[in-house]
Amino acid sequence: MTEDWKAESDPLVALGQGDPKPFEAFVIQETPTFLAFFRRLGAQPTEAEDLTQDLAFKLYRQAETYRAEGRFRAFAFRVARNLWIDRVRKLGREPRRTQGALREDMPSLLYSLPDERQAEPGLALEHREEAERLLVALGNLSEGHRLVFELGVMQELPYQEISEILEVPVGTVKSRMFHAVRNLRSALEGGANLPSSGSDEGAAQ
Amino acid sequence: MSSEDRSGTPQDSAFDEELVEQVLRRGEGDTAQAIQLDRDVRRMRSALRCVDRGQGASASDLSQRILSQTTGEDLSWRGDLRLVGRYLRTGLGASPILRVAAASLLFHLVALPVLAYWVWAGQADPLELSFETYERAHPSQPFPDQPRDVAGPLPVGGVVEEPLVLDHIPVDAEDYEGQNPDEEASSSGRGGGSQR
Repeated sequence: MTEDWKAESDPLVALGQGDPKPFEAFVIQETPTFLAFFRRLGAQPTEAEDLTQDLAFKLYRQAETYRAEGRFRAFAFRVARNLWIDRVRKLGREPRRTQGALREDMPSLLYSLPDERQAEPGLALEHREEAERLLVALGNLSEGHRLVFELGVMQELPYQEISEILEVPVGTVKSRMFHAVRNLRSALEGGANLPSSGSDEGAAQ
Repeated sequence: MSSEDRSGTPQDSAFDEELVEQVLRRGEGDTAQAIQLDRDVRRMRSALRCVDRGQGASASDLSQRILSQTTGEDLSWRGDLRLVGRYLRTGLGASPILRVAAASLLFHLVALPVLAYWVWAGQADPLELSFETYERAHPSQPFPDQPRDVAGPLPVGGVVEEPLVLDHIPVDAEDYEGQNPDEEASSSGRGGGSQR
């Protein structure tokens, strides 16, 4: 049950064939990933849990009709992204407010970081400050930029898959990634966080 | 893109979209800029993944909860019981008012039978509540406590009623003819002396 789901067959294909083990391994291994994914997008803790749970239920229910096209991980992130968009629309949040949610929620995110002060106090403090700066910079990004950064840098998905997940051209992904990385790199060095702009998307498209 | 966005940091001239893509795809760089960018990207990942590590306990609980409602769902009565138990635990854990109400209900459920046993077993003087009841007596009947009248009940109005003669006068003529002659004579005598 705890073995690596990636080493086995596609979890939903296996589930459709009556083998639940890959799906169980996927849930156990990837629940923290999706929790953090939703949190970094700006969800509150309970909201992130709800979204992760909804994602698993949605995948589970699709097992009978699912057809494997590409990597399962990319498919799961597409479903997760759609869930996030639905949630944002349902709550009637304005885009700017969604961006600000991460900044407003910064204290709880940072308090949830593991306390490593006992091991190496100086290093832990430095990490916390670095994490804080990066989270603030991430909160300053637009949702499109944040999603591209999350999928490309944090989840290490290739541009082509990000393009399919977000349903935007690869050129837009490249452009968004460049600006997101530049802004976060600036924050990493303790510089001012530059406000991101969405006008580059039009140029890329 | 705004001019402010384009101006950016001093490294802007050193890296571009292609370089970012190359570093992210290959995870390493050939040039000094690529190596530096790769190092920065790793630092970003490391710092932001602290968020992933910080929620390990809740993630573990959540994954167990998901599995119990998907592949691990028990459809027997035990599963139903577990589901009810989980629902109660969640509800009680979420609301202090509900906890107080549940504690009060439990106290009453336990205390009432104990109190009843204590009272009925005579370990304490129970509350003596006595009620004196009397049968509702009919107005014509004497009250049970009163001495009976040996002469019997008085007639209504204090006079003994006797049947009237008129009550015995036959209605039909045949009945009249069959009557006793003495009676007939007496009746004619009473009728007056006109026949004489």
